[in-house]
Amino acid sequence: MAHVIANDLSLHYQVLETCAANTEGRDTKVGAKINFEKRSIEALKNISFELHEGARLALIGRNGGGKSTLLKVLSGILEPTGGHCEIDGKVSAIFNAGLGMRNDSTGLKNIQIRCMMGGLNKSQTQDVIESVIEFAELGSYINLPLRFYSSGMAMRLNFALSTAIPAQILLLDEWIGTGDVAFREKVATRMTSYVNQSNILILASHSMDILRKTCDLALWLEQGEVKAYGSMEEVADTYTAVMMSKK
Amino acid sequence: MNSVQKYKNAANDILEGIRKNNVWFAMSSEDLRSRYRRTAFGVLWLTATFSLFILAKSMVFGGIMAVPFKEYTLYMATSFLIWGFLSATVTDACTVWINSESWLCGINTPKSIFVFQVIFRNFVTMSYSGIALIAIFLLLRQGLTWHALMVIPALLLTLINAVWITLFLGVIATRYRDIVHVVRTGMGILFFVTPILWIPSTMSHKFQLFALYNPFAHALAIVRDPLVYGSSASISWLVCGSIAIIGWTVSFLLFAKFRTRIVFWF
Repeated sequence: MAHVIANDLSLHYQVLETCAANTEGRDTKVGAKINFEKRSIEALKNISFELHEGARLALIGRNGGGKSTLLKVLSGILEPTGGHCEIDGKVSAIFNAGLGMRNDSTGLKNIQIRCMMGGLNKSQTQDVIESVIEFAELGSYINLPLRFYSSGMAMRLNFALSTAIPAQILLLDEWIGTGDVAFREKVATRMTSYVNQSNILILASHSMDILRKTCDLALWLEQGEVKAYGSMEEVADTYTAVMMSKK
Repeated sequence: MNSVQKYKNAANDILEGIRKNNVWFAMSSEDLRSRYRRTAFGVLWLTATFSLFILAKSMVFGGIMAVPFKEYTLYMATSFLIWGFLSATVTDACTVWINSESWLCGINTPKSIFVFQVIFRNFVTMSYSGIALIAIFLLLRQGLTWHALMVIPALLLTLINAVWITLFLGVIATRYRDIVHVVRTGMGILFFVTPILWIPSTMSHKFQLFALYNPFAHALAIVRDPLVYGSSASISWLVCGSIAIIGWTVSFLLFAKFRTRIVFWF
């Protein structure tokens, strides 16, 4: 049974740049707290939650709230500086179209390399290739280097690829908004089927409509801390009300 | 995380990197493909460049050295080939993870994959120059003895050393960005104090000391001497072997300690 357990997660980014000390004292409305003494950014602070099969969690919050950082911790890319997380199940994550892709290599080569990284054998790789080409509708572009792709096309490839390789836990960061209407429909369908296979989905976004449609739980992050955690409806209502009042 | 687990994870990272050799095979060939894209000769440029360099150098220096032209050319060409590999690996080592940021920040993947990618890419590069070296050996009618087979374990030891050097410099140069400049400058100077263009036995005492106390001199000797002289000095094997053991120990500890910190240093 796939599950994700975050236990008191904290993460500090070290600021290695020398200019850091000169920026103290300004009014900071977005982003996590900067600790000038320790020269670090407290990107996540004491985050705890538990997700089991079929959970669909929305990460919401203002820019710099810690949504992407949390996803990176859950995907194993960043190791938390405090607390720990327990992940059971294969994780697939999409952060942005450029990450994990070679710009000078063809779409096909990129698919092959990612399959190799995932440890897939030849026939599994062939299946993934077919499925990605069909889903992303890239046709002959698949044999051209990524340099010739538009950002939307690169996103199509990345989404198709990350969801074609079987995984129990899917992490998506701000992927909505790119892609045309038709593709968004396909994405929605694929995500529904993903969730129906009782896998875990964690989605960070600012599009409340899509989050309400897709998710049942929500975690509201504000400056790296949990502001609210509960049912999608409740948290989204409060969040929207607070955001409107700040206008 | 306790420290035992850290070592286990680091060892797993390296083993998983070795197991996923198809990834770095593919990545290295894509590197070379994009480096030579839209050229008419592709990677054969490596062979051509190496041949022309050797030709020019043997013309210029061959005449003023106190050894026969043939010996000088073979000595210099072989040394230059191995130096090319070592020097490229040492410099690339400093940016091994910096250049792979888009992978390391996008996918949870073994960090050692990129170490092997750098080394394999430079090894393939060396092999293409090696074609020219074989041609030079044939052209100068150099006879080989059975001892020439020592070149195989010598290359193996060279690769083993290349891995720890890349791990070591990778970690410290990602954290301290001056290192890459120190290393580039250092390698430029080392080129002249390493016996590549000159042969120690024909030089003054001072140069012979350079050759004795410079580990790169021994790294070149274990590969070169079996081919050029049909012999190898045990001191060179001893130096390279000891360096491998000490280097691997230090680098592994360093890699284990900071492996998960690397992504925070980009």
